[in-house]
Amino acid sequence: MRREGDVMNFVQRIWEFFSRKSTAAQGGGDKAILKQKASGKMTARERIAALLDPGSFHEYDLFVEHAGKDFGMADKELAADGVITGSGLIEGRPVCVYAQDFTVAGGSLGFMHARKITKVMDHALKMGVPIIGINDSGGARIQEGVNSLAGYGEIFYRNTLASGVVPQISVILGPCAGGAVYSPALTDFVFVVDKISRMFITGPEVVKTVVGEEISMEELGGARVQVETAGNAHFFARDERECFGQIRKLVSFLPDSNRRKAAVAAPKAPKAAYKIEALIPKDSKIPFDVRDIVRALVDDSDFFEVQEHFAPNAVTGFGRIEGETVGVVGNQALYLAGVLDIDASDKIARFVRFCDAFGIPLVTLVDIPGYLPGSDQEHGGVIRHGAKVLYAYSEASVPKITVILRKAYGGGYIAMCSHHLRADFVFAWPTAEIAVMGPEGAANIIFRNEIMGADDPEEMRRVKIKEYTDKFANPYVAAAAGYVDAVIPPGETRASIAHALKVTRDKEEARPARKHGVPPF
Amino acid sequence: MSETEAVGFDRLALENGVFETRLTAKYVARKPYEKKDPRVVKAAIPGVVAEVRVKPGHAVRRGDALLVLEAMKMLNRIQSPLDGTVKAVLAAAGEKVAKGQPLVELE
Repeated sequence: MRREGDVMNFVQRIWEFFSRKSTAAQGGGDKAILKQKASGKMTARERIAALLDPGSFHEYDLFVEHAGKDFGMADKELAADGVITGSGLIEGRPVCVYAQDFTVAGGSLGFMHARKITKVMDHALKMGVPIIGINDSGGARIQEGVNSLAGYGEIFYRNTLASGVVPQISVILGPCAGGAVYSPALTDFVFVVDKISRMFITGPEVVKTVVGEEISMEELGGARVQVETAGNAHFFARDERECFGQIRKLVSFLPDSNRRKAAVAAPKAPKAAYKIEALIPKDSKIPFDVRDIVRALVDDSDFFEVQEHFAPNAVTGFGRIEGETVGVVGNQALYLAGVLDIDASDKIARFVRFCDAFGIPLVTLVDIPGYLPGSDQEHGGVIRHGAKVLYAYSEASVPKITVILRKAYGGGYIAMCSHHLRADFVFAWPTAEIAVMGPEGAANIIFRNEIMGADDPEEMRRVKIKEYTDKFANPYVAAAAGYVDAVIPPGETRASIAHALKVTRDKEEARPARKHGVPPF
Repeated sequence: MSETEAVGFDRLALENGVFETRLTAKYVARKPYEKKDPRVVKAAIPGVVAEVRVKPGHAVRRGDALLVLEAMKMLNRIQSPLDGTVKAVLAAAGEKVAKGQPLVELE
């Protein structure tokens, strides 16, 4: 008799487990799930499945219960407290992940919900693996009051501690408003999806009441605005599947943590379609797409752009050279002549710091005519924003390889990882023009009196511009001073960079002791 | 593939010359600098006019309250930036005003 009872007990217990598990896994139930899908969104579990290698997800804390006591919350059951956490694999490499479940109390963040997130963050930090957070939440769980705010604070603190230690990725797949936006803002890369992502500090209603502006959610903080105008987000996808593909691709370029080097892939030659000589226009006044130059340099012509839609006058992204991940920065003459302005400076500086933190060598392609003039730039603080580029490059101790393609004028020349900011290798194409100013500007100043006093000032201006161009608009003056290590034909660029990467592999550079620097934030 | 053959570049004048390039939407939408006219007192923040304290023809001294603007849950005294006369009052008590909206004109 006793034995039979034990067996029954075992069966019951197993049955109870599956029953509990399936109830919790149903999230907010069929109705809420249908609503989620009707709005074009995947469920939290579908998202995790789409992000990770098939079958690789292991969940933590499925049976965590919420801590709300007031306003009738004590009797309510919230499956998994509205957030799914755990670890899984991306191309066989471990990552930690959490996904807020909008079907459970609108994905609202209560105390235990936050504790599940901070637990998986702590885990990622300790194990040295990337953390990926999928945000889809109405915000703080108001019934839990200040405990909900405490939860956010704990997340932000960990985001800051983890910064530069493990790659942190945020995915915005629904609303992410108010204080909640600050977790993504503290992470390294933010992914958004058209028509689904919404980020703002204060929503359209508050904006209308307080400021009197009428603006839709999409226009105020939709995906496009975030990637194009605000620059808060780094990657834009048309749908969720595309977004998860982008995340997997990004992760493939990154190391698991700052304790490791990024995985080296099998080297591949660039595609035949990208022949560097054919990409350079004969007329030096015609801009080229610097991304094509990048594609002519990196393995398989595979260049994965970061912040593609923001400040297009600068280009940042990842590629591989002879299998090794590099961070590429380039001035993009196709837009705004490739000037540095506030947005481009922010974009470059942040990218450089990410690469430095994670040991990713930097390749900088220089084609810069200078800074963007204008009251909006000066009043917007282009001085302090521009200074971030100088700071980031000077601070970076990873291998720094610079190629000057065409223009390198004035402060822009210094800022774009010049020899003076301790580039390890500076190459210049024969088409490089390294000078304190462009010929037109310089001639107007140096030869002002000759030009003004000439019978034909315009003719004299042309003569003097040519004189200056012949003398200074080339790489040889800088090469004569040793500021350029080698003038190379464009066709040898990839081989030169590959060599530089080999030489710099075990680079060591001493820095003065300090707690941390004070960059011009 | 290469966009370099594309025609119709815009021209951008910089310190170092004029360059063929494309302009970004953000650049095109930038606001040109507007010289401030101290005689036109504008709302620095959006809000509701709680009280108007002057009428056209009133002599005012620098620092006198022209009106009270309720904004961000505070009653803000909007002061005259100069000694002069009120030429026109452009907002009424109870009126909701946007940022930058002229409130009082002085002379």
